This record gives sequence, C-alpha cells and structure tokens, in this order.
Amino acid sequence: MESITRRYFVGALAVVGAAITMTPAMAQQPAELKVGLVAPFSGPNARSGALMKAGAELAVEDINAKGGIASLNGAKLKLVTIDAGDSPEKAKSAAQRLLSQEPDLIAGIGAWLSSYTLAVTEVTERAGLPWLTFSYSDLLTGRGFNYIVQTSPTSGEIASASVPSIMALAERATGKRPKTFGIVADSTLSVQSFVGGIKSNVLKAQGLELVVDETFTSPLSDATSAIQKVRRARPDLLLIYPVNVGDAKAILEKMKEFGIGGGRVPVMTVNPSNASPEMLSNIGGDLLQGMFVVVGNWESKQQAALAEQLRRRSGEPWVTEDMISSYGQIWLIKDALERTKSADRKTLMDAIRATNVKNGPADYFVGGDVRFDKMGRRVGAPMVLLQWQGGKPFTVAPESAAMATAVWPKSQ
Amino acid sequence: MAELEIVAQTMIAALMIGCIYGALCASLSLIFGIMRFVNFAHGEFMAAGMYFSFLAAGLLTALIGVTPFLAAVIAALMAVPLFYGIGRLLHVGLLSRISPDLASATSHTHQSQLVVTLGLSLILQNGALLLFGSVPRSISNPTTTEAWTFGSDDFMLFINKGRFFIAALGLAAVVVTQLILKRTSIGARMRGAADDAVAAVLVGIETRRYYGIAFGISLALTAFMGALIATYYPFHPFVGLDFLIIMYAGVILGGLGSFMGSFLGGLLIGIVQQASNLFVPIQLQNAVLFLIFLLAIILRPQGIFGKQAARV
Repeated sequence: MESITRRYFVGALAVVGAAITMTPAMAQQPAELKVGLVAPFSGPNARSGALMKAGAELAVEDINAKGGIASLNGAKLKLVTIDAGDSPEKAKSAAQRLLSQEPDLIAGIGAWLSSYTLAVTEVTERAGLPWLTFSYSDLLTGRGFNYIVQTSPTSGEIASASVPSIMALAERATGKRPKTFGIVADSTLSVQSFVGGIKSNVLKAQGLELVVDETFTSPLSDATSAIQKVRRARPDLLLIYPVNVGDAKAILEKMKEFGIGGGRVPVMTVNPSNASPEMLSNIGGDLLQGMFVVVGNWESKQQAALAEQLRRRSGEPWVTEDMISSYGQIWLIKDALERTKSADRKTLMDAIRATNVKNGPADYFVGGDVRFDKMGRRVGAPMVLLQWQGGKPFTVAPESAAMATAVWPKSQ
Repeated sequence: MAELEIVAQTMIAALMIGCIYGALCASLSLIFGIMRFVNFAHGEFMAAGMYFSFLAAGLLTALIGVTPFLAAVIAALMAVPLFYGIGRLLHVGLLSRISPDLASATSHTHQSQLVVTLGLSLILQNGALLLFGSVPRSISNPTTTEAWTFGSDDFMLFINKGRFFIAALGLAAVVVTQLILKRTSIGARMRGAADDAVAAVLVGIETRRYYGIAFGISLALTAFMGALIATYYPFHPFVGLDFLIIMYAGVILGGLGSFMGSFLGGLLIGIVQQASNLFVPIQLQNAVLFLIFLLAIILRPQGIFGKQAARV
C-alpha cells in the first residue's frame, strides 16, 4: 500500500510538473485558421475537384511549413473540404453544411462550375464569408455581392478576347480570316454565359457568320445530330464547349468518324477540364492535336519552376488551372491575413479586395498582377490560350507567358 | 437531300442507341418484373461491369495481344458467369430477406428495398471511388471513330462500327435471355413465379430460388452491356446515374413484367431521344422523352406493351 502511494505520488508529481512546463508552451500555440474548399468530389466533375484539393492542400502545406501566418503568431492554416456533388442544389446544401459544421471558418474557395459557385456564394455572402473563385460567369461578381472575388477573367472577358486572338492566328498562318463560325455547347450557366457573349458581342465585330448553333444537355448520349450539322456547314472555326470528358469524347470522336476531325474543321474550346490529363487518357493525342483551349490561368513560362515542383509533388503530368489557381488563392488569403493581422471575416475580405501584388502570390496567376475592382473582378486578368500539341496542352498566349508557338491546324 | 440525310442519319444513330438502352432496360425488367423488386443499385452494377471490362480487357490486350475492342467483347462474355454468381450470392445473402415473398404471409414494402439498394449503390459508388479514384476511364479503341459509309458527299450516311457491334451484341443477348425465359424449364418456372407466386409454390416451384436466378441473369446482362458500353462511354464511379433513369423509364414505358416489352421500351426511348433532335434543340431531347413518358403513363398506365392483368 505504502509503495503504491509512493508510486502514485511520484506519478502525480510528474504529471503536475509536465503540466506546469507545458502550459505556457500550449498557451503560445498559434490558433488554427480554417479555410473551406467546396468542390465536386463526386459526380462527373469529381476529377476537377480532386485537382483543386491537391492545389489547395499543397499551398496549406507550404504556408504552414514556412511558419504559418507570421502576423498572427504563426497561426497555421487548415483546409476543410466538402463535396459540392453534381448539382447547384447539392453545392448550396454543401455550403450550408460547411458553415454550420465549421462556424470558425475565415474564408473559402470554390466551387469549380459557375452554377455551383453561384449557389454556394448565395450562402457565403449571407454568412459574410470571404470567397475566392476562378469560376468564369460574369453573374458571380455582377450581383453586387461584397464577399466574393474572381481571380480569373470573366466569361464575357474571355469571350471578347479569345475569338479575335484565334482569328488573328488563323490570318497569320493562312493569310485568310475565318468567315464562318459554329457552336456546339453544353447548356450550363457558365457555358451559355460565354456563348451569349460570343453571339452578342464578338461574331458581328469579327465579321463572322454563325452557321451552326447547337446546345446540348450533359451527358450527351450521342453527338450524331450536332456533328452532322457541322459536317454539312463546315465552319471555318468551330467552338465546342463540353464541361466533361465524356461529352468532349463523344464530339471529337464523331468529328473524326464524319471526316472532319484532325484539323479539317479547326476547333477551339474553353474550360480547364478540356485540357486535363484525362482528356489525353480517354480521347488520345491524335484527336486532340491542334485544338485550342481557352482558360483563365495555366502553367506559364514565369511559373516553370513552381509548376515543376507542383507536378512532382502532386504526381500529375501537368499543372491545370484547377490546381494552380487553388494554390494561388490560398496564398492570396495568406497575403491578406499578413496585411490585416486579423482573422475577422469582414476585415479579411476588405484586405483581399485591397490586394495589390505583382509578385509573391501574383506569381501563381498568368499576368502576374493581382488587383480587384469594386465588383471583385481581377483587374486586367488575361485570357490564357492553350493548344494541344503532341499530347499536351501548352500555353501559347499571351506571348509573355507562352511555352510553345501556336500552330494553325492544317486543313486537308 | 440534306434534310433526308439528316433524318436517315439520325434514325441510324437512334436505332443503335435504342438497342443499347433496350438491353439495359430488359435487364432491369427481370428484377422489376419477375421479382417485383425495386433496385436502385442497377446502374452501379452496370458501372461494375465497365470497371471489370476495363481491367480484364487491359489484361487480355497485354497478355494475348488481341485488339482492345475484341478484348472488351471477351471481357463482356467473362462478366456473364461472374456477375451471375455475384447476383445469386447477393440475393441469398441480402436481397431475399427484403424481397416480396408473394407466396407467404410476409410481405416487404418497396421502401425497405429502396433503402437497401440505395445503400448498396452508395457502397458500390464509393468503393469504386476508393479503388479507382474519380478519374474518368475508357477503353480506347479505333472502332469508336470508324464507320461504314454509304453514298457520296451530297448524301452520305455513316454507321459507326463500334456502336453497331455493341447494339448487335445487346440485341443478341436479349434474344438469348428471351429464349431462356420462353423455351427452358427454368424460364417457365421463373415466369410462373412472376405470374402467380402462390400457384407456383402449390405446384412445387421454389419461388425464392427462381427469383435468385432472375436476379443473377439480370446482373449478368447489365454487366455484359456495361462491359461493352465502356468501349465508347467514359466512365467514373457515378456513371450509373446517367443510365438509371433511362432504364426505369424504359421498363415502365414498355410495360412492367414484360421482358421484350422493356426492350422495346428502351428502343423507343432511344428513338424518341434522338429523333426529337429533328424537331427541337438538342438540349430539349430529354424533356421530349419525359413528356412522351408522362403521356404514356397517363394514357396507358400498364405500359405500351404490358398487359393490364400483369399489374393485378
């Protein structure tokens, strides 16, 4: 009994001693700052969500490895993810769940497809949660919301810049300007926002006649009907805008089957999913060769070293917009936290909107200059033009970021 | 001439898609029709067939050097006994406990089937997500871009080789299953168990066993079609949802309890879906499809090819 008492005494002393020595250290432990990521981790766009998560996780890892948020006693960032599912309704309910489960979130990013982001930001705006997105729809920052910024150019901006850029390329390569234009596009919001911009502002200004205009709802069970119209009309330039690999495969394979693939009808498309590694594994380099892809951000000449590092650490064959933009957005949040020295949501949002950087976090966005206007849109965000060459999408414009020279597909 | 070409080309695509949908609908009708069982995991079993095909075709191509399409056809044939066995095991171990036992006093509601099969579907979806990730896969093969062509440049028709073979194999599988149902003693007992379970028990038919056989054949047919569809349709763990609504619509449109009726229901869905493109924009093709579906339910609730008596 005596020995037990002594043992207890020694043990208790050790515990008390440890508690005394540990308490000040624990009190100095910096708080954890939670950042949310809403993205599709299930459904047909799950792969894009996985790429966003990979980018955001790498950024959090890098920031924490470098000491966290210095101005907040080295507070560490923590990423909290939630599945946006496969519909705007599910995305909205995911945002509601995220906010109720994690009331101490300081900011968030997502949710990939514009229609998801529109639904998610209805919730985050009411909660006053700062939100960063690379979704394209003009509506996102056109609703007068205060708690959102877009780090990529909007659909309208991309529409205005992309077609003229490709037209100029065609003229340089062939000596002729395309005269006819075709559209085969998905019916989702961001796509129609882009297509609407093309139809209302671009075609007339560029002297283009619209000869095919087909809209489909995903999943596309068969592309025969749409591509047959393309085969008959033979536009000088065709815009296809699917938002998943399955629909892109159906369209491109049908074009080859109908004898208008391989550059016979030059193709442009939009959206990072159309330049993802899965496009190559499911469709093949031959069918993709020469296709132009318009995106809001990508691996560029300036980011070569970082991209190499992200490639190595993520195991992906190349760095997509989903990954690099998510990576950069977490760094933008870090930058704002350092400046504002506060994790208060309103103060943080004001700091994010006041961002004015030309390097550091700006290095992760093509154009290398990140500022936001009153609406929350990135000032001067350039459209990035990629081209599939030899089984890989290379940045070909803007020239300052180009990693390869654009080649006009040879009509045969 | 251009309009005629568009109509003819659309109908060619519609018939091929229709045969593929028809075979999937027929597979579901075996469960829905014979067992009166609501299976919301049916799309996931099709997806399981796709993943099986992906793995088996990859192995076959690497080991014996056959073309990817032929490898997928062999994989589809291999999937038949495998998924039949899985179906029988699942029925014995799980589903027979919630199947309606028409011959006894115990009856199970469709709610319990719905909950169990939805759970099964979530397990299969997330299991595939764990095993294969969210990356879409497909069995790349040249038949998806190759076609037989007819006519000259003014009037040219294309018949896609891959779709044609898949539609033909789907049709053949349906015919074989129909022969099993109509010409064999096993088929007669299954039909007996479906038509009047009490009478079937009275004449010595072990209804549970034949429900299990029906479930096994249904899964085998679904996986067979999934293995073939994988040659042209990229798949991911959630791909089953793309087809499930079409399958149920085809079964209800064709007529509950009618195997060939369900095939024709699926065929009709394929034709309506594609032919609607001739009159309305493509994005409305499913709206037209479900409008026809609603009309059919209102005007002929037993289904186009179903019999009123089958629902009593």
